[in-house]
Amino acid sequence: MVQPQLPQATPDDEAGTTADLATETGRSSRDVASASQRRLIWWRFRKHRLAMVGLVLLVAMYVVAAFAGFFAPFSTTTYSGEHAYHPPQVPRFSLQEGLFVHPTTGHTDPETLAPVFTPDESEHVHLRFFVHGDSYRLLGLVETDIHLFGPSEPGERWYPLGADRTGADLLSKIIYGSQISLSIGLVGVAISLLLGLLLGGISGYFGGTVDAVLQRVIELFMSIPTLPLWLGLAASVPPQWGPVPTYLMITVILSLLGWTSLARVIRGRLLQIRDEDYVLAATLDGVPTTRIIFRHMVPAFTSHIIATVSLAVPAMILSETALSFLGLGLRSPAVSWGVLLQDAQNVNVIATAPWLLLPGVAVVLAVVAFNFVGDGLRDSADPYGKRST
Amino acid sequence: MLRFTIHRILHVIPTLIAISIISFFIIQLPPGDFLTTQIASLEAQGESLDPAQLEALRVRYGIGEPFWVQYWKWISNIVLHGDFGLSFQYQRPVGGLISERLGLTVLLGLTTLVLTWAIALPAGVISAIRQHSAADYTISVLGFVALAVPNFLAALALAYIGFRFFGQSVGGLFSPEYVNAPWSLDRVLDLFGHLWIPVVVIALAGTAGIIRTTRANMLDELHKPYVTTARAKGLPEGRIIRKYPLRIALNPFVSTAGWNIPQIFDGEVIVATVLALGTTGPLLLGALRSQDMYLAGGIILIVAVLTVVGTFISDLLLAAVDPRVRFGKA
Amino acid sequence: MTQSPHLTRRTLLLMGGGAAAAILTACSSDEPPNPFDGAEDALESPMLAERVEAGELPELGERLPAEPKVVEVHDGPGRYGGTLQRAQLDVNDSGALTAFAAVGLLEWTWAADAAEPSLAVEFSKNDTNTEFTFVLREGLKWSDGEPFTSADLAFTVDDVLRNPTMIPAAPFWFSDGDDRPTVETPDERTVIFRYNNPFALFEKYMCHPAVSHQFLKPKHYLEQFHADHADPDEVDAAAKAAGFDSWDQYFWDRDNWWTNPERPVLGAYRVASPANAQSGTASLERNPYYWKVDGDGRQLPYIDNIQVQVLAQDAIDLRAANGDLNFQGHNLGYNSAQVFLQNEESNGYRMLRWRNDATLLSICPNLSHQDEVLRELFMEPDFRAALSLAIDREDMNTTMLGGLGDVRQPLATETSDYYVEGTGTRHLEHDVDRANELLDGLGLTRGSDGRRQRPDGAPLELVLLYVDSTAGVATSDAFTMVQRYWEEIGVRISLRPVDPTLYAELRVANDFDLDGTPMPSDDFDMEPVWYVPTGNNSHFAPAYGQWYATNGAEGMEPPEEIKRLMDSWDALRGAPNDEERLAAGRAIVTQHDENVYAIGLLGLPFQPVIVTDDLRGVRDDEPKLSFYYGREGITKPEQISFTGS
Repeated sequence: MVQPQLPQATPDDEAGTTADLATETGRSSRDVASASQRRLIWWRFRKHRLAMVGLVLLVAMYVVAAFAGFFAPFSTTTYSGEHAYHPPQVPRFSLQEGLFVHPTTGHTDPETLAPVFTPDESEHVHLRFFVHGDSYRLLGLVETDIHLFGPSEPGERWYPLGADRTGADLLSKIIYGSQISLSIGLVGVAISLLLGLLLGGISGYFGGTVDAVLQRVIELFMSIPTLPLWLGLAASVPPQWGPVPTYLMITVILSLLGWTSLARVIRGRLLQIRDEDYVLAATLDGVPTTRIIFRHMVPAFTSHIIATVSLAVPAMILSETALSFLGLGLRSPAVSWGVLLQDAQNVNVIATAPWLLLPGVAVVLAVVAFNFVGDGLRDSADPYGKRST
Repeated sequence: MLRFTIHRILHVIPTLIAISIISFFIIQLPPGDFLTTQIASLEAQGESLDPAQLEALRVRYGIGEPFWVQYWKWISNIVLHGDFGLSFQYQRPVGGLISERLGLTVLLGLTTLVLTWAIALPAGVISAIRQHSAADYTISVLGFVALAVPNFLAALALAYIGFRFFGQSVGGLFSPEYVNAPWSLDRVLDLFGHLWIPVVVIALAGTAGIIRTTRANMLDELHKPYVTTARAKGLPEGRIIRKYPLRIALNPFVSTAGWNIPQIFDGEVIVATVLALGTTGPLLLGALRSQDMYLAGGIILIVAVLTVVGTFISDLLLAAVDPRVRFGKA
Repeated sequence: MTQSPHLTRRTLLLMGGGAAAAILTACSSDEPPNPFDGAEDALESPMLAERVEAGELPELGERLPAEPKVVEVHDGPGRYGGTLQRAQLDVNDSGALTAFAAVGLLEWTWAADAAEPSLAVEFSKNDTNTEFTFVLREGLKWSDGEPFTSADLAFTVDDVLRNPTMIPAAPFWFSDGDDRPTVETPDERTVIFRYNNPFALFEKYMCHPAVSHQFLKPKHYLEQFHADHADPDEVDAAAKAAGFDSWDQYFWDRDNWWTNPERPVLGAYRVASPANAQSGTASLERNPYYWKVDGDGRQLPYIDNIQVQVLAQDAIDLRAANGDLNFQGHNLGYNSAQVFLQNEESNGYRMLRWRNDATLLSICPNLSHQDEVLRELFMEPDFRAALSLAIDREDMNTTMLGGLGDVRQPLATETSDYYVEGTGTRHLEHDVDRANELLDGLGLTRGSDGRRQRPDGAPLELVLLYVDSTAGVATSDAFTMVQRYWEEIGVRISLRPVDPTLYAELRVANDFDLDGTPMPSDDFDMEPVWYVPTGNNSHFAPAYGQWYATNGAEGMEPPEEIKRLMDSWDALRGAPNDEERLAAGRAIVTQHDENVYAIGLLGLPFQPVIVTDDLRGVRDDEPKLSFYYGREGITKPEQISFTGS
């Protein structure tokens, strides 16, 4: 085995961490000693390279999702039948034309059944910034038709990531799909968190019989295979509901199944903190219980909760795709990554139109980014503690 | 210890009862029943069933009865006679259907588990002793990517690769010529030729979590004073790690092995469905979809019971190892 | 066959270079023992000849009936042997048997347009279609060697099909509308079915492979499970022991030719091991007592075994593209046709383009809607015409099927007896102006948002109910396009994809506005419900169907127009002769054509069928791959064979 990098030895725990932190964050010991906890976490987080990459990626993704109409070259409903399964078109550049692609005409070869696209070399679809195209509502409020980048003339087609089976632009669909896929995780986790905080908090703070009962309930939830729970609950969503309520309901279902692990974490942390000296000291001082909880205990585990949450979001995103695969999640014409992937789930796509698997790349990016951030947060969550956990 | 064991057993019994009720309740949640599903699937094939005949069949199957009547009929037969009822879909006793698939399910689950650990534990250890190195980052990235790829997609993609580049006959766990053949070396080889896709897909997805935990546990241990002492004594680094921190870091995995039981059954469902493996996953999915309630209920119940029992054993193990648990501290 | 090189490559890959010895053994044992060593003039399969030699089977002469049915072999005399590989989606689908081991008193001719003798060597009916007489071949035997006689048919009809415990309500293929038939067996070989009312379709049902076999139950085997024939207590005890609640469930279990290998059969193959085992693979083995021979008197089938593996759609398509499936049409995805074509040459098979069952994706407005306003609106021919005219079928066709799709209204096509010249093309053109005119004419004024209002002033909003599927024409894609087209004429629909179960439930409950469904069109007489509301499972008028099925006791009384449709159906079923039957059927087609009760969208251009290069005898004239003709069974699979290597 190669000589491993030695972790720095810490002769004295208390002084050591401050010194450690100072070296680690590249700031003076005085800064470190006087900095707020939030600041310390941030300093430390910034040192975590993968986490920073993840954070940047996430921010970018959420910005794109929020302004989907602006970033997507087309709306999800415009299509061009003859361009079904059009492969991705890489923009070309010339001095006279600027960025452009050639428009194509498509037909299906009756012998091979393969779609054939013939570019018209004499014509150009000019690609420009801030062009007029399909109209949309920015943030659901402002009606506009300005798109960041796309064909300069409205009505012209361009397929940066290829076209789907109806001849709609895949990139636009991925961008619009992120709205549902990226938010389903947040909403779901928010609900899980609420349940987890409430029940885990009760369980951890009161202990005893309450704790025992809640632990059994959690055990119960965890011992039932998730698949039948999904199937049963998803199938019981009233069918007359529209896509949005159904989507919310599915989120709730996902989070109803997700709260158990969160509750366990919170309970564990609470049990640990409850025995800390400073809590004991506060109790002896006669500080009221609510004040102990909110002033002393909650801040102590907020960072951990944030870390756990950021690790729970990607699980939700994956669950959404799995539900779609099982035919229980959203279905087209709704657009989400799960729906797009379900459409891509066949032999023909893999063999002849592999670009339709690109929504999978979006899922991977989002999930990995969340995990990096979560990991980084967990590592930096407890600035005075050991540097590892 | 005896008192603790009895105490835990008393906890298990109400859990089991609750699980059986929930299992039975879940499978009845979706609208319609087995017969309407049957009609629907017949129609999809361009066939139809007489509505009048249907009503009579419904009475025969006892489908219209109230929940508690059906539940009692079901659970009393299981407890008193070990009879899980009849699968509507297959028209065969549920017990037989499950047991003939249990072997492969466990084989797939265990192979996956072993592979997951075989990859994740060393990766986690390396990550820890080389914290913040290129190796650490690479392992993190790969682990998370494996976790993030939707497994139905991975299964189909690997199946396609198997077809395109190796001419492999996709789907099932055996090539046609070995399906009904008696066991032989060739048949085992054929089995492994098919098993690798699901095993790789499921196992890789599971590594990320274990890598993270191992890494964290290892880092905890590496900072403990006894490691410093050992180092000061001049023990070789490899020996230090193997002898002490590694063992302690692995402790929780060993004592919580029982909690992995639902994973064995849960992890494979989607992949096994895509690849049409003869395991309980697709059986359960099919049963749930066609609302074959005794079959679905039977599988859920068995998995749930195994999990509860597994957790119970894990708890006993933990209690045996760590006396604090016995006195309700942890 | 093409498997050994693949296996070698895979084995190599699996083992790495290291285990050369293991690979060698694997290779040599992979070679199947050459099944084709029987000479071309052998009269029976070597596999059976061996068993005769071992004394396990009687001589061929004793196994064949006195006058075996001679089958014309499509592509030269075949050789014996081999295992045919197939796959299917649903473990309970016994389609492999109805295709490859179909059996009936009668069977379809090669052209699949008339009946020809099968188990029955003679068939006659009276002038009024109420009495049907069959004379069985002499010396027919079940697959276990027991004789097959008229007693088996009497048992089937009297103790099973007419038994109200076993079959509470008569299926449509058995009843003349009011009653089940009686059966008389004057001697061992003669069977006479008697109906009270004329039943013009009886002859056709006797050819329908999924129906015809249901008349043939082995009395000598099944009577031990029947409470009227064996000791009721023993039968009950046996049922309980096998895990069944009552004897009739156990009876059906024992009678199932797909899952019970012990049940004797009359078809070309019997199930040797069912698909229920964990392998998910059924093995079919030739029936040594099969009663058909080729022109040289050699016993059929040529192929010894069939293996059917239960797989998911993608796995089936990949296996087909790999040349692993020898002969497969059913359960093959049209969407993968391009992949099949790409791999034809390299993987040793060809893809034939068979016709489908003239199935067309369509939208059916609910003519028996609970809401009176909508019901009257849907009954308005102009409204349906407007909906049809607003659809740009050319655009749909280009987008979804590359312009190759089938565009027409869902009606019997030229390949059907019931086809009426010039029908099926009404309102296909894309004419938004005309559509708007028609809607304006109905007084459906547009609101301020451009959407039309119902006659009672409420906004016109319809829900389209369908099952999300991409197996044929992708339903969600198609209906999303329709949603857009109809938006232009101010008709707003919302899409409601549901799972198949809920779909069936809502329809039966008469709880839908529009139903989006693939409609088979040619052989509607075999399954009238698509075109005539004969039951509450009707796709365009469930409540009228309920009224019809219950003789007016339940459901909703239909208007005269629909009653006329029902009368035509009664006339068809009860026609004393073919002319009247065809006339009645054409009346149904004409009425549908004039009224466009169902709005057709798009149909698949063909149905891919994979045949490996080493197989011969599969017809190449693009027949129908249809449930009513036994799907692949239309090519008389007993006469297909492997070319041998």
